[in-house]
Amino acid sequence: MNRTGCIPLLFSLLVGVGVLTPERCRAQDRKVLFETDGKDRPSPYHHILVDEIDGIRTMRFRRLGTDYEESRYDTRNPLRPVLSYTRLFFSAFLFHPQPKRVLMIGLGGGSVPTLVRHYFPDAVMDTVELDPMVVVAAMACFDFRPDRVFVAEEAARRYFDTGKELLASAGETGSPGDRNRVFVRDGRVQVRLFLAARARYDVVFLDAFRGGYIPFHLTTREFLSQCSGLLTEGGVVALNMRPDFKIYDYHKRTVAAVFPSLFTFGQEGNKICVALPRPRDIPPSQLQKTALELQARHAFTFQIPSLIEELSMETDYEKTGEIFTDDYAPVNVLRGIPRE
Amino acid sequence: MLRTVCLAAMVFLCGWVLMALEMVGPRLIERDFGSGIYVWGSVISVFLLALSVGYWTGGKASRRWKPPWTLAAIGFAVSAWILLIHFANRPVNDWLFTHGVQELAWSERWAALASAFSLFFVPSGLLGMISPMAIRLAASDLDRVGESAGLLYAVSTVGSFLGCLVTAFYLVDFGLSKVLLGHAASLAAGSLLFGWLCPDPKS
Repeated sequence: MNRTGCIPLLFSLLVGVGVLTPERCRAQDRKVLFETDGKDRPSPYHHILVDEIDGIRTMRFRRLGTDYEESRYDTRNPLRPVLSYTRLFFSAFLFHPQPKRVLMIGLGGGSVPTLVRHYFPDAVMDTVELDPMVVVAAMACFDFRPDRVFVAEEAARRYFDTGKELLASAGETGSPGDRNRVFVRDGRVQVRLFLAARARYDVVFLDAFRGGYIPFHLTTREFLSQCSGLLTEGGVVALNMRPDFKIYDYHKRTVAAVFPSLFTFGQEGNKICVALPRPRDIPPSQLQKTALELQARHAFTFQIPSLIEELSMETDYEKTGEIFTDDYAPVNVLRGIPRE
Repeated sequence: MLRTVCLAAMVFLCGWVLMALEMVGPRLIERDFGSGIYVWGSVISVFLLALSVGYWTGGKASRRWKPPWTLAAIGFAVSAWILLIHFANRPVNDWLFTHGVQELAWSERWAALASAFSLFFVPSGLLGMISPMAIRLAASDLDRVGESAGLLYAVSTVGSFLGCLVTAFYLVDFGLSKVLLGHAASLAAGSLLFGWLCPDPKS
């Protein structure tokens, strides 16, 4: 193709993209606050983008041309859980209403840790995040304030330096209490180190996504058993799951193989599965009672009792079939097959 | 002619197995040391170093050991090592995790490299020996040695190409144990067939 033919084609492609992308229509009120690139602000794992539209900030991971929403933050009301799964994650506390130690795998914008710190100020909140730039973005744009960030790799520290000017007013609090800690490391490795150090948690949130899917080594029976080993007496694991792809059936069967009691919250979009390591039959009336107590004690800005309306005890997955193991976890295939 | 066909089939199989192992390698290591880019870096670098050692050793060996059964023996040795990978990868990685990452506070990239080295250096080095030895067997006169080398390299690399693609696209979804056991069995069977069919150059 000659040059003159090329330019109109390129132009029409650009215009076409502009029309198709909703964000572009309102480009005038969309601000990009943070974006990783290959040069001054690289991320070793993601293309991270944080933008603000009408006071709502969104963290997105761009993968294969799609921007996957990872986290949202309302600048006018920082305590409002904007994405429904952030709110649904709090259903875990219906099963353990007085948490002393909480662990989260996968930071995102840090909405859950920030809310946990706010409503349970005495609890220790530990978060594990693989990508140092996600931590930088959460601290710079989502008002996430860890007391301390542990960086296992010297190389990861360099990434923090690239965000220095962003973090000038938003660094670690350095508070001696050390109640809000971030560990920059692979989730599986860190969980194993916690196990070896005999750290135990009342609630473990699993929310590690790499733009629409969970890395295979964080889906397997072996990993979930390790997470189960981190639980205190009465502790629970809460998983964020996308119900729209075949991977859901496999993943949920795997969870059910490790945890005998499952409670699934969420009607539309992502579901939160609260998994208990021992069979327990908890009637909704008891959960209702706990919800009211929690609401009264901590004055949540969102309604904890209404979470129970989103509880479903029906089996919403195919019960028979293979499960994910370290040996067999075709996550990459299943994440592309729709369920219906 | 029969000898060339046998040698081509053998280097094709070995090329395939080499890349199949390289595709499975990171998956065996990722589950213990995370899914960072250093896992792929470790596996690929160990394979390259091992190949270089293998080429050199294979070249030396080709002067002393000429009968085809030596190639078959290397195939058997690799096949046995793949079985070893299957049974020992868990304990090896557990040991590296406990003693390296946990006790000595190694960064997981060094643990991943140590794991890749202990699991894959020997089989990929042995597979690297195959090409120079096969070229020596195929070369009937000095004038045609380049032609033989070109043919065997081409066939071996097509084997690597297919082994890489088929393993990564399809086989890995059967589970890692099946991939390892399947390749160990195929390589053993192929080596047996090769040792049996390939005519000795002296005859």
